[in-house]
Amino acid sequence: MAFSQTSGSGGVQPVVYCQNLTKVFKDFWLRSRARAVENLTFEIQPREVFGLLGPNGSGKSTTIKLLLGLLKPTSGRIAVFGKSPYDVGVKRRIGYLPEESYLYQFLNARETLEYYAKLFELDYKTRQRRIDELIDMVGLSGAQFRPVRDYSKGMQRRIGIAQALINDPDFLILDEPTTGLDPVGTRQVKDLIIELGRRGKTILLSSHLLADVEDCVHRMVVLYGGQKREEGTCDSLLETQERTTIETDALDEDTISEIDAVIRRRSGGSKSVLKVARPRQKLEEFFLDIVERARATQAATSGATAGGPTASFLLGENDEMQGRELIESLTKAPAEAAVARVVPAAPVETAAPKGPDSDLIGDLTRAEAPKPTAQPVARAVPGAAANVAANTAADVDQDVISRLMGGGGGGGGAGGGEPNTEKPR
Amino acid sequence: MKIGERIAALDRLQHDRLFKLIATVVVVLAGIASYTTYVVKRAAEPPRVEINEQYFAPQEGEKPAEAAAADSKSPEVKTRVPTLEETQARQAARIINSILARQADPTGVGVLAATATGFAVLIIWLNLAIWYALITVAIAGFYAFGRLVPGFSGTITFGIAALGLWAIFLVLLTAVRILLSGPSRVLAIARNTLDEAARMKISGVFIVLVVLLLAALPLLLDPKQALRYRVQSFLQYGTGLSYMIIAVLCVLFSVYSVSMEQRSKTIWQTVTKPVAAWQYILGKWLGVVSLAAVLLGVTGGAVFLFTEYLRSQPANGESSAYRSADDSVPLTPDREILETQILTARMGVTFSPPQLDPVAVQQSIEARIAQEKLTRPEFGDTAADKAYVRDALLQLVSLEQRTIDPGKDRQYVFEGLSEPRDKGLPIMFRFKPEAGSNRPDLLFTITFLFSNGAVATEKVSLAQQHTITLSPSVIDDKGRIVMNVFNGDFYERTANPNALYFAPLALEMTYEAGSYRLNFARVFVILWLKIAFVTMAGIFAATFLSFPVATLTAAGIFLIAESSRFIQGALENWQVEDYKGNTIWFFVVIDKIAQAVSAPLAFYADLKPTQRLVDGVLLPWDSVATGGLLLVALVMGLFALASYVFRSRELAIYSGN
Repeated sequence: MAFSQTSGSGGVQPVVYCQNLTKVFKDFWLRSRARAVENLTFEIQPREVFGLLGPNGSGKSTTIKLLLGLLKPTSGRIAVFGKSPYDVGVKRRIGYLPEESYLYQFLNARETLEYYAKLFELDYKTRQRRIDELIDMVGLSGAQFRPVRDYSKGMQRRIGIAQALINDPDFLILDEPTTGLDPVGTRQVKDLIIELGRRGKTILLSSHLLADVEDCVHRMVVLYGGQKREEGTCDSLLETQERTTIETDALDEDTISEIDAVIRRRSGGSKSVLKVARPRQKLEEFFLDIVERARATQAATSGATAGGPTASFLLGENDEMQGRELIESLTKAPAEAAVARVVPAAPVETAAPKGPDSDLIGDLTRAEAPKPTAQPVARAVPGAAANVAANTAADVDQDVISRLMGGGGGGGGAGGGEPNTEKPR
Repeated sequence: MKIGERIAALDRLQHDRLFKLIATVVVVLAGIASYTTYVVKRAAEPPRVEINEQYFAPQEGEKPAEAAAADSKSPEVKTRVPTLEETQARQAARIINSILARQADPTGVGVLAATATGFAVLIIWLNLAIWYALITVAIAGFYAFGRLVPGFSGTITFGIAALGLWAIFLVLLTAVRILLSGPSRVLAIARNTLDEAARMKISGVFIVLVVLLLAALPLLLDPKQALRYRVQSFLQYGTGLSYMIIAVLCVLFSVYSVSMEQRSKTIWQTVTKPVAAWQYILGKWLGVVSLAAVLLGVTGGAVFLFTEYLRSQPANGESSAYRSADDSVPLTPDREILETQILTARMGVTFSPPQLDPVAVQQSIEARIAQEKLTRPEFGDTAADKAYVRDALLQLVSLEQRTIDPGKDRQYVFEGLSEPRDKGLPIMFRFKPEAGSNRPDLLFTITFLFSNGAVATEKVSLAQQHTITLSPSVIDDKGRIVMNVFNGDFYERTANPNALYFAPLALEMTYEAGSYRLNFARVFVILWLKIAFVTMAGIFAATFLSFPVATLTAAGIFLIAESSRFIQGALENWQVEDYKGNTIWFFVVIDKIAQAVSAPLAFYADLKPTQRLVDGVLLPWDSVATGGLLLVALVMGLFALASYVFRSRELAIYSGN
């Protein structure tokens, strides 16, 4: 069986190639028991963050196990880096986090990473450096000598993530990576995925937590009953053309009526303001805020602490210049790549409200300078802000807007600045 | 701080480089100071005395009857080879002088001091300094308690021995862990398996059991028993029981480690790394056999050291070790047997089967078939029937050769004894007579007549092993001993009431063919190889069976291997036909299965390393090599099979769930 495959579009070899993949589980008497995956065809391109979505039992984990050679396909073709999943050499380039962290309970965090590092035959110095950085990154420095059996589920998950990254993989497979993690850990994992994706890693993210996937992935497949139901980029799947959201500073009833009137007038009465709402802070942000404040008071915890920065070896900072330059060149690749790029996450520190008394809306409306959105991760297509701004300028009379905003013109007024766009959800 | 955290903190301290440097300096200075003190003290003592072998030479008229007979009837032999008593005297002088020399030589003490200091430094750099210090303090505590409070000597000896063994276990385990710490996949898996074994309860129980057993055994020996029996008991139980425990641990743990990794899915994260199936299997095996090596090391060390300790105790009839209470007897029988038959490596020769005339055999077979045909006309037409008659005839011949009627004699020839004749080594003749129902109250008189004219008449109990020491002069020029056994007193012409019977190996000539220590080492090599085989069997079973089924399979292989010779013997008497001559097919199936599994493993049982150690029988290098190669071949065969099965498996599916 030849596994060498190239994508139809650019001649680039896909990282994962699946064609008509089917997996049927059989019982002891070889009777078909369940069709876990059926006729599944998809590809994952290099430097792509790919989502595998679906409810429980939809075949996500089975697909991943087929990719890793933990299961054999009943029929269909499968290739990873152009080779069979059974090829041992291919596994040098893969990092895998299973849906639960299956760890040796008798080892401590350090020994666990040491063991997995040795399986990649990393030399002593490299091992120690990577282990130090990863333990710091996942926030387990204080608990690194405790046996893994004493860890909470979330702490075990963190070690699971660290072991998946120990070989600085080209292709990272994350099966439900945020399971068992607290919101801080979840956010960190999402940030990590975005960061690694930005750095040119190929990532397969499987999850049924849609918000996790939406925040991170470029392209996705939606599975149900082992079959592919949808495939496409986030935007192509999620963007609706029938609605437009404009986010502004707080407006009074009269202003909104005027805007409505303008819209009705310009559309000949066919369009109008459908819904006016005050944006609420997300529960995730609210929770992160509390944790942030607690940390500020240095409350004691014996568990995992805030994770450190992304391990430098994953960013190529400690590697030879050649590798570094390569990654930089890849990550600075222009947006003409076929897939939509993810805008880097806004740093949590700046995104999160600053203090307990901070009134987000008030802050934003009173501020003189334009503020970033309260969304910690603003997902958008690169260049989309500019495009929307241009469209807005073209479609809307700028003076009318200024008047409606009650400003003295020239883009001043209460909120000022360019409108912040957010796609309808 | 919890106890676990305190231990972890202490462990980190003994890993600290500065701590290790300081500790090394302290230990080296202490070693130099101790040796200097010893040398200064030693210089003031008188020089030692050497024992002359004449000290042990027997007086005129005290020669054993058998040796005297040999001397008188074959003077030409006497000029060629040293007599038995000369051999004994030399041996006794050699033994005692070597002991005295060891005790008196200051160089030996210097080497000892240097070794002890080196060992302490090794301990420090193996990151065990604090554990060893704690163990030393605990041993000192036990000792001090024993001195202050009488009546607990047993408990205290046990405690000290257990702590000492634990110390040996720790250092061996750490050394092996370091050996397995390279950045190779196989070594990583092996090291992980070893750590698992050392930290999990399932293996911990066995490890503690071995240590406690070895520590408790000396207490179970009866101090009133003859020294040689104490030594034999200790060798038997210390080595045999420890081996069984270690083998069972390795079988169980190898199955547990491989099948539980599949069940708990930890294997997913290992096999999704660049690890080939053979690397995983080899790593697992290496980890378990490393643990076996550590535990056999502890056992070997403990058995060897305690045997040496027992050896230094007074034997029956000795005022102190190696010093007979009766000046007229140079070596007491207890000491002599211990030194020459047990703590040695002897080669055994059994008698040759009779030279049968092929024509007569064939005629006899045909006559028997003809007789059988009278009642069963179809009998004798097939090759199997003929083979059956032949086997039955040969068994009958063998039985007849080993049976002596009352008042009759039978000749036995032992060949291949040129080596002891040329080297002038004494021969130990071992025999175990049986008669009737082996009544324990009966004593049988048996006369042994040798071709050189030597005669020994012995009055012995039945079903027990007896030994006679023979001069090498009983060996003829062809390296043979020709011996007639008379069932009764040959000179008195009296007979015993029953026919005498000897089991196949119950008549044996043995001679010293190697050193006890080397033999001891070879025995442990074979024990380890046997464990290596059953470990691979366990791993192989666990690659495709669930934990309980794999455990039963591996344990079955182990039991069959250990008892394969017994099974082979039992199968000789296994009947597959009922009394009417109808074949019972179920019994045929059992016969075939039992043959198939026990025949290839018969060599495994024949190695009998522990029994050889206890009986002081040489395990020659060629046996070690042959047995070792066969075991290695079995291990490699199972390894190839296990790797293939493992590679073909869908590891995300575990049959035990």
